[in-house]
Amino acid sequence: MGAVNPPICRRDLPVEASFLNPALSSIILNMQTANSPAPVEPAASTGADVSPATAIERDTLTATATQSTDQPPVAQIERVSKQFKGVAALRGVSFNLERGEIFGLLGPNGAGKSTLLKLLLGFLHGDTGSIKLFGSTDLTKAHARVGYLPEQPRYHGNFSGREYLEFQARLAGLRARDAKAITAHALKRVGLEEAANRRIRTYSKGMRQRLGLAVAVYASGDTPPELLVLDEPASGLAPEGQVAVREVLLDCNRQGSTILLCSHQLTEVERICSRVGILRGGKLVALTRLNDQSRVVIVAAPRSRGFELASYLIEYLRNLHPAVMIKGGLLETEPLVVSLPTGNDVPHAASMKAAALRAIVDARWDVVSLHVENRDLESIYMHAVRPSRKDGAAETQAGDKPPEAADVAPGQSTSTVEASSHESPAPDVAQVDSSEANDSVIVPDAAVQSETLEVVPASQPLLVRPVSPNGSAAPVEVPEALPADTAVETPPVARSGPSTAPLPPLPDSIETQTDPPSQGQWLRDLRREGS
Amino acid sequence: MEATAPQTLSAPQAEQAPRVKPRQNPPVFWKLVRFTLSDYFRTAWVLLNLAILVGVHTLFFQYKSGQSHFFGIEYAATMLQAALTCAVMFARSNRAESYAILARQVSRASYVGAVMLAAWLVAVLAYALSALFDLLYFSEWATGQPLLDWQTPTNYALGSAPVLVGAAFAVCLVTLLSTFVSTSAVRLGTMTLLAVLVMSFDARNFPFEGVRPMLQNIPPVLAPLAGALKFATEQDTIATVSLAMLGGYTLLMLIVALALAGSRELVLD
Repeated sequence: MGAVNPPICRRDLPVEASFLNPALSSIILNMQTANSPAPVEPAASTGADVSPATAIERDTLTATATQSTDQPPVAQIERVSKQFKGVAALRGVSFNLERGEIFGLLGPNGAGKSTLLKLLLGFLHGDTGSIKLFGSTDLTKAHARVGYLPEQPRYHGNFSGREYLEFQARLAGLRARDAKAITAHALKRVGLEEAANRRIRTYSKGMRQRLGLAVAVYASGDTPPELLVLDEPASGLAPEGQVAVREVLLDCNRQGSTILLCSHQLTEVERICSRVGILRGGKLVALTRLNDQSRVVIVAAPRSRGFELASYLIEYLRNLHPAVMIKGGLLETEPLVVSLPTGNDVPHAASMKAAALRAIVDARWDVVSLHVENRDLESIYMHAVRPSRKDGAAETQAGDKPPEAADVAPGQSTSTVEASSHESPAPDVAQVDSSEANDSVIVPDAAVQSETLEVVPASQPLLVRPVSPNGSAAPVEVPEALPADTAVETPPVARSGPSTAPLPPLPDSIETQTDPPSQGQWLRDLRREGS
Repeated sequence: MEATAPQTLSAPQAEQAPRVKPRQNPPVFWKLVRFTLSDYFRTAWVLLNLAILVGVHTLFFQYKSGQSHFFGIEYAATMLQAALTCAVMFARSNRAESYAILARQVSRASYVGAVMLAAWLVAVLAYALSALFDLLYFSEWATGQPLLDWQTPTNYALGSAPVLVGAAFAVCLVTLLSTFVSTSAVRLGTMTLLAVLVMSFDARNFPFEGVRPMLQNIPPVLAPLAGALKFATEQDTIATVSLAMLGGYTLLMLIVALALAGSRELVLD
C-alpha cells in the first residue's frame, strides 16, 4: 500500500533476547529492516468488497474515529432491555458509539433496531440499563446535537417542503433569516428546489426521503449534527440517489459527524461503515469492525514440555503486530488461538505469518490448524441472524418476531422480568474481550471462509486438518487412536462455500469452540499417542 | 408534476452552507403553537368548527337572545368546540409525523402544552366569531332596532370568563383522555371517575343498589361546572367560587396531563 512499510515487529522488542533460535532471529531482524514491499497475501475472494475506494473510505473513517479520544463516547448503551407485552424487544444490548465513526446497525425485521433507535432518542424508556448521549442521560437535551431520520419519514403533508424545513430550522434554534437561508441551501443540496413550494403530501417516497435527509442533516445549522441517527436513509431512492446519500453521509462524517446507520442494504453498510452491530431477537449477536476483515488464524497445542515456554511464546506473538489477537494458551489444556491480520493493506503479512508459525514450532507446540478467515459482511450477517439450536426453542416460545415499538399499542410496555425462556444465556456470538472494550469483538466464526491452508514442517507430527473449499475437513495426520468425536480441528472455524449458501449449524460461540469440554481429554489422548 | 423534480441529491461539495449557528436552548413553545394552529387550519377539520358555529346560530339564535340564553348556549358550544378541536389535534399528533418534531429539543410536555393551547385558541376564536356574528346579525344597522340592554362590553367581558374557563376545562379533560398523553389505565380511570361523579348527583337510578348510599355521600364535585355559568349573569359568591373551582380543576388537570406526557412513551402510528 504505502511506499514505506512499517516493521511488523515492535522495535522495542529485543529480538535477540527472545527464545527463538538464531536463524529465526535473523529472519525477524531482516524483516524489520526490509525496505521492499512484503509478499502480498492473496486477496479475499469471498465477495467482500475490498476495492481501493472502499479501503480509502474506511481509512478516512478510521482516522476520523480515532480523534478526540479524550471525550466520552457519543452514545453509551449499557445492558438495555425493553419488553412489549411481556415479549422482549431488546435484551441486554450494550455498545458504544465512538466519535467520528459510522456504525451500521443491522438485523432482520423485528430484531429491535427501530426500538433501539427510539430508546436512544428518548422516545421509549428502557426497562433496564442506561443510555447516555454525549455523556448525559438527558436525552432530550442532547437532541440539539442530533439529527434523526425516521424510517419511512412522514411529515405534515399540508406544509410545503420549504415551510416545513424552515419550521425545523426554527425549532433547531435558528433565527428567522438564518432559517430561510439554511432552508434554501438544504433544498438545493437534496435536489428539492423545484418542488420546494409544493405540499409535502404530493411528494413521492424518494422526495420525502430526501426531505427527511435535509431535516436531519442540514436544518440545524451550517455544520451537520454531531450525531446522525438514520433509519434506512436510502430507502425508496433510485440508485443514483443512494450513491448521493452515501456521499452526503461521508461528507458529514468528514465534518465530524458520528453516524448511526440502520439499514438492510448490506452493500451500502459495508462500503461506508467502520463498525457494525447485528441484532437478532433483541440481542446484539455480533459487533465487529469492518476494516480488519482478513485474518490468519493459527490454533496450536503444546507438546511435552512445550507449555513451559507458553508465556514467552505468547509475548512474542503479541508483539508481532498491534492487531494480533490471542486467546487461550494460558493453561496446559487450553489451545492457543492466534489471529494475525493479513490482506493487502497489512505490510509483511506473509513474513509475519511465517514468523509466528516458526515461533510456535520452535516453542515445541503443535499447529493444530491454520486457516485464513475472510469476513464479508453478508456472511457475518447471515450467520448472526440465523437462530441457533440453543435459543431456537426460546424464541419460538416468545414469538418469532419480537414486536417493534410501532407494532404495539401505546402504553402497553411492561417492566416485568423476561420470560424464563430468555433467562438461559442465549448465545452471544459477540465475545467482548474485557481489555479491548467494544472494539475487539470476535465475529461469528461461521462467517469466515477458509481460503488457504499451510502445513508447517516440524520435527513432530503435525495435527493439521486442511479445510477443503466445500467445508469438509480432511485430516492430514491424526493419530489412529484419536476418538472420532474429539474433533481435532478445534476450533471448527473454517466454513467455506459461497457466502449466500446456507451454512450448517455451528457452535454458539468462540468461547465454546476453543474450549470444548473434551479438550483436556483429547490432549491427554494425543500425548499418549505421541509417547 | 413529479417528473419536474430532480431525482438526485447534489454533490456534497457543491455549495458552502451559509454561516449560521443555532441558539442554545431556543424557545420552542410558541413556534409549536403556531405550527399546530397552522397545520390545523390547513385541514378539513376546521370546517367542522364552522359547521358547529353555523348550526348553533341556526338552531339557537333565531331571535335576540337574553344574557343567560346567549351565554348558556355559548358556554356549551364553546366547550364542544374545544373538546372536538383538542381531540382532533391530539389525534393528528399521535402520528409518526411527530417523531421529527420531538427529535428536536422539544420536550413532550411542551409539545402537549402547545397543542392544548392551540386547541383552546381555536375554541376561543370560534366563540369570538360567534359573539361577533350575533352582534352584527342583530345590530341596529342590520335590524333597525337598538341592541339589548345587557349587550355592553362589560357584560360581554364578564360573561366570557366562564366560557373561556369552561373551554380550558374541556381541553384539559380531552387531553387527559387522549392516547397521546395517557395510558389506557389512566384513560379508563378518568372516565370511571367522571361517571361516578356524574352519578353521584342523583344516585337513585344507579344500577347497583348497594352502591347507592355511597354515591349519595359523594359531594357534588362537578357542581362548579354548572355553577360557573352563573357568573356570566350574576357575579355573586356562589358563581365566583364555582368559577374559581372550575379554574382549579382545569389547572389540576393541566398539571396532571403535562406530568403524564413527560413520562409517556412515544409509540406513534
